[in-house]
Amino acid sequence: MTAARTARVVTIGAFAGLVIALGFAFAMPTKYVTTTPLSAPSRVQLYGALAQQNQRPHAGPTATTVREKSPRTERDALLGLIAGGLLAFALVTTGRRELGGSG
Amino acid sequence: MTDPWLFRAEVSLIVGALVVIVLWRLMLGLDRRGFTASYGLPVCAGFGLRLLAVAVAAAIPAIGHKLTTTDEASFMATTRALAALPLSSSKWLSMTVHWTEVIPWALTYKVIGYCGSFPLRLEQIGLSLAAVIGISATAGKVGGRRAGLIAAWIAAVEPSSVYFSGLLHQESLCMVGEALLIAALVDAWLRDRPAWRPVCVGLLGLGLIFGTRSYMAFFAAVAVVLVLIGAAVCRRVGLSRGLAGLTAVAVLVGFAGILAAPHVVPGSLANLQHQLNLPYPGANLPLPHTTVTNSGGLLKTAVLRSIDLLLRPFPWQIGSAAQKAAVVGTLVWYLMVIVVLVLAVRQGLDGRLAPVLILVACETVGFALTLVDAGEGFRHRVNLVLLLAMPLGVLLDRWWRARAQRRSVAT
Repeated sequence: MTAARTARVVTIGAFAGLVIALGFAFAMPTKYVTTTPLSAPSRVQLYGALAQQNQRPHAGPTATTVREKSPRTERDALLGLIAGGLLAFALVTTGRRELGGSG
Repeated sequence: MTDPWLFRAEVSLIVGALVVIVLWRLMLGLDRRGFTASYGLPVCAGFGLRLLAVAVAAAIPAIGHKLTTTDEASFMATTRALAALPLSSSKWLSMTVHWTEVIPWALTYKVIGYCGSFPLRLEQIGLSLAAVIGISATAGKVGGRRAGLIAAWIAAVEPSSVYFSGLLHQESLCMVGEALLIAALVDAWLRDRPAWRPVCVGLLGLGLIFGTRSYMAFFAAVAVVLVLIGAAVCRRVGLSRGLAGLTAVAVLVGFAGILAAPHVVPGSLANLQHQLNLPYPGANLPLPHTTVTNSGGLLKTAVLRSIDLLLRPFPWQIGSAAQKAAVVGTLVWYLMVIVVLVLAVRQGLDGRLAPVLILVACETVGFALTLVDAGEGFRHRVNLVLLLAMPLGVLLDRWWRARAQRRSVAT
């Protein structure tokens, strides 16, 4: 296999990895829950008199934020690109019987 | 915050692809030196079986849980703690010297971030297969292509090696060190003059053994001295006389060492005794209590625990699912030892196999002296399985050739 063909296969593999990673990043569970501790005044504001009487709902002193998209999509996409390229390179090189780049 | 499954899958693919590429380059690199690239099939089979073992251990807690909750938990904690430190920290250097097995894992976490244990298991599998390739290349150098191929198949598919290769422990890197050391020792035995390359390879192997198991480096160093003396003596007086003399001297020096040790290194023996007395978490194959602080106890421990290392756990010790799975490994080990003994007696000992047999003998005593539990011995034994695969490959190849010759003469 020539170097040009190897490069082509690696490029296709990297692109496939990128597409798959992006697909998973957008299609997999879309709710990313972030919890933030609440200060005492905020708790009073949220639960009113119940908070002072220590009878507020048993949810704990936190606020929950739900986001629809992973904030690390860029990292996942980059890792997908690298993984796809490396996987393609591994598949191509293990077929060779000799060392050397252009063989 | 991101979806951890996607991240871990991507990292696993990257590490897995790198492992495959490095193993292939290693195989071809050795091929360039006159060996063969035909180990591809056994290495692929070994890779697949090791991945299967990791999956089975994860899916069946009765098999995998016992392993991953003992030593592996502390290795993982150490890895994460080290990865949290900056690379400029002196801890990195000290851990490289004394806990070398942790360094690849900690570097992985440092570079990529925490990605679970599977990518680290892939690294362990890669290291164990690198050891398989190394030992097979040495077998190929001694006995030819088919001998190397037989050694590769044995080392790649032997059940206990397959099982422990994915464990985050010292075994895989220690086995790489042993494979390098045995390659250097066989080189030294075959050559008349010292060459820099085997010296470097041997030092690297000794360094890896020291980094993973410092006590074992002493016994490996004893093996190196014996092999170098043996090579020189056998060249002068012949193989049988040379080996007989070497064995007699080694036994005498061993006895002298056992007599002198309580007076020369009492602190080390007290420390060893303390370790042998410690209750081993999760151990359910205990061995009888032993004393190593006096000469008589030390001699008795060396002999009896060597027998324990080679024979226990017995095939009928099936108290848990992990022990039931280990029965196959025990039986295969018994078969390997018996076949090596029978073929060595029938064919006569090949001098080129002396280095590996000397290393096996020294490591057996080394592991035996530190053996706390029969289950631990079963894990340690994978080092001996790897080393024994080399003479087994050579002896089986010779038996095969002799049988083919007999058949051709008969027809």
